[in-house]
Amino acid sequence: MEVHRDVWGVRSEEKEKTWDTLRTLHEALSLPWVCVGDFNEVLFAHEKEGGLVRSGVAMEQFREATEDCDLQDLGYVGDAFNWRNNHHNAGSYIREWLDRALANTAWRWKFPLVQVINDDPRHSDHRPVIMEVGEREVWRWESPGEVMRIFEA
Amino acid sequence: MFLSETKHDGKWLEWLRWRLGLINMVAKDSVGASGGLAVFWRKGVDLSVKSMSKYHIDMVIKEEYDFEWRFIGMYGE
Repeated sequence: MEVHRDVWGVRSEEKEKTWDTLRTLHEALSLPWVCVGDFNEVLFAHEKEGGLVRSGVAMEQFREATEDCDLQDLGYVGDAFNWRNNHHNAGSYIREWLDRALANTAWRWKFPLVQVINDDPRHSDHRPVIMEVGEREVWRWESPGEVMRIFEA
Repeated sequence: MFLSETKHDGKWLEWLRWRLGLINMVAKDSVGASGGLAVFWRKGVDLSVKSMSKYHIDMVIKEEYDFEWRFIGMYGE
């Protein structure tokens, strides 16, 4: 059997465990949710520069998992490439978009002003990613208390 | 605040939570020098941890008007 290995030496079945975790979490609770972190994978080929071209199968598995879980990327402000190796030789310099925030439709409705900021790296090979959720959308029929206050004012 | 690849044991994380002033913490220890996840949060935030593994920490945050949402810190293999 052919075993796919990526640049990290991680076998594809190991990667599949990450996506299965995502699916299990999706099924566990039906709340608005946001999933933030280092996925160690890119969704599309252009999200990686330098080094070997990313495996199409690996990216496809990640995209499938996000679709199965109703997760959409929240985008970013700043530099897309939030990870880079620290090779000073241009020929071996690699940068990738590995850290991201994914949220389901319900969460996006609640936090329409969310911003994901890829900040300047300090000591790490990753940029710090700051998620500012912003003001929350409050629907009147969900919060009679607030409507009451408006009338009282 | 969510950290991945902490590569440290509880002592350092313990020090960090006081240093940051984010005194609530939950952590998944690293195995040797690899992996490790941690979440820190401020006093007053109503947060409960639902599950964790080497890949994730799943939390529910409860806000006013009983509004609840889930925050998952993720680390992919």
